[in-house]
Amino acid sequence: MSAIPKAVARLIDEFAKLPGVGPKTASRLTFYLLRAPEEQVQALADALYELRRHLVTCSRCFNIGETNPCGICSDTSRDQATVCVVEEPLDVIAIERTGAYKGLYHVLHGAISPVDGILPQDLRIRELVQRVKQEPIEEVILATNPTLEGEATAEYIARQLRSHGVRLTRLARGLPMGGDLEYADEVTLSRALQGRSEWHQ
Amino acid sequence: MRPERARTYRTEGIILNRRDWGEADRLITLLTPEHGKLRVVAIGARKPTTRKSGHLELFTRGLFVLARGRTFDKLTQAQTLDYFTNIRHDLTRIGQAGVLCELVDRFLEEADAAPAVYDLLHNALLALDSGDNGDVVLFHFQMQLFDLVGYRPVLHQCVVCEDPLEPVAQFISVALGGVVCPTCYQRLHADEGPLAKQIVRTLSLNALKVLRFLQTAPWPRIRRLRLPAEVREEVRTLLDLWATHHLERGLRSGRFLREIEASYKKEKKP
Repeated sequence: MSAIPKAVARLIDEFAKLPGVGPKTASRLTFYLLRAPEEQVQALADALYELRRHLVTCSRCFNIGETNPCGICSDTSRDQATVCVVEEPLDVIAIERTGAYKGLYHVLHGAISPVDGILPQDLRIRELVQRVKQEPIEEVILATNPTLEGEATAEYIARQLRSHGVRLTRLARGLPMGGDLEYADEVTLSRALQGRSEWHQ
Repeated sequence: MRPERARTYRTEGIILNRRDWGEADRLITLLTPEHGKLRVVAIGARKPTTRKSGHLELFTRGLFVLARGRTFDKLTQAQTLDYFTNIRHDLTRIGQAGVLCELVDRFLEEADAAPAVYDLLHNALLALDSGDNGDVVLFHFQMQLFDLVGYRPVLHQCVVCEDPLEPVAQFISVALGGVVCPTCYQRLHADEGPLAKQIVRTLSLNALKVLRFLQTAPWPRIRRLRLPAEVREEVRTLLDLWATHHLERGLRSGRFLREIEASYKKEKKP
């Protein structure tokens, strides 16, 4: 017999499945909710419920949104000839926050990874190739992460799209704002040198 | 055991695996010569301003400073020694390097010093990077690794009767640990019936010769090895089987490599 009531144990288990949450944090969150005001718990429960009920995956860009097609895809004022390919929906949010991009997106939902066994067919790459064939796309920006997995994914997509006559570009790689040359690794630094640009271009 | 006393220590290492951890951290599996396989946390490695993340890519060989922690040691400084650039531009080589690292990660226990495995992995990555035949690099690596972790296949005598082998096609059994001569196979078949077929498979004379060569010859001779497609397939299947049997589960990167090769083959045809 466990000393913890079943309902509590169940919530702890559920919390512990979340990324970055261990068993200790899970119990802390659970016991916090036990003491929290009724409205707060209700608000959390509603938010969780709504999350799945009202969110849909856009059938065009595979971003998550409230409508299908999503807000970005149905916004005709955006540049329809440019598609930015990203790994995760969170990356869309990050790029949108810059306010510097006015084109469309394509969310892959992951990156090719040998050690995690994630293959090209597990991602939305086939759908991207279809989009390039069917839509008036002129430029595809490969905005996967500058990691081994992201580079491999970009490389694979580039191979698939090379024969389709679109301009393929990759996000610039270089030094981060607030960075320090002394601590930069050779690869980042050499990429930064290769990709140097005119002052005040 | 992890080295005691000093609060921080320096070590060389190769990054076998890494995954996201917590808010902005990464959990890194590192192979080091003196401390064996270590799992360490790189705090803040996913933040854009980090000074570490560029040095913490998969397959990178580097110098690391680690601080002792309660569950995992913390990675405080990192500096790249070898980046293996050529591996990274080629999906097939990425897959092959992935297999090397996954094999080491799975076969080795944590914190068991393994300088020989470290050298083996380092040399295999260098060979892949320099453009040596990826299959041969992989075969040689697997054979040597089995040796180092205690699963060396018996290839010069029959594992059942222990008689030296005649130069004819033989049988081989992963479960029994090596080559079974035709006479013993017949006896096994008579005793066990269909079960014998399940644990023993045929082995062509050519494949046996290649396996022996991989087990005993030095790398400079092995790297010149050119294999006909059917022998290569036989050796590959057998070595994969050997690994899967002892690990009790297939390799994720092995599946990845097969898929990549298959998709490239398809691309070339039309």
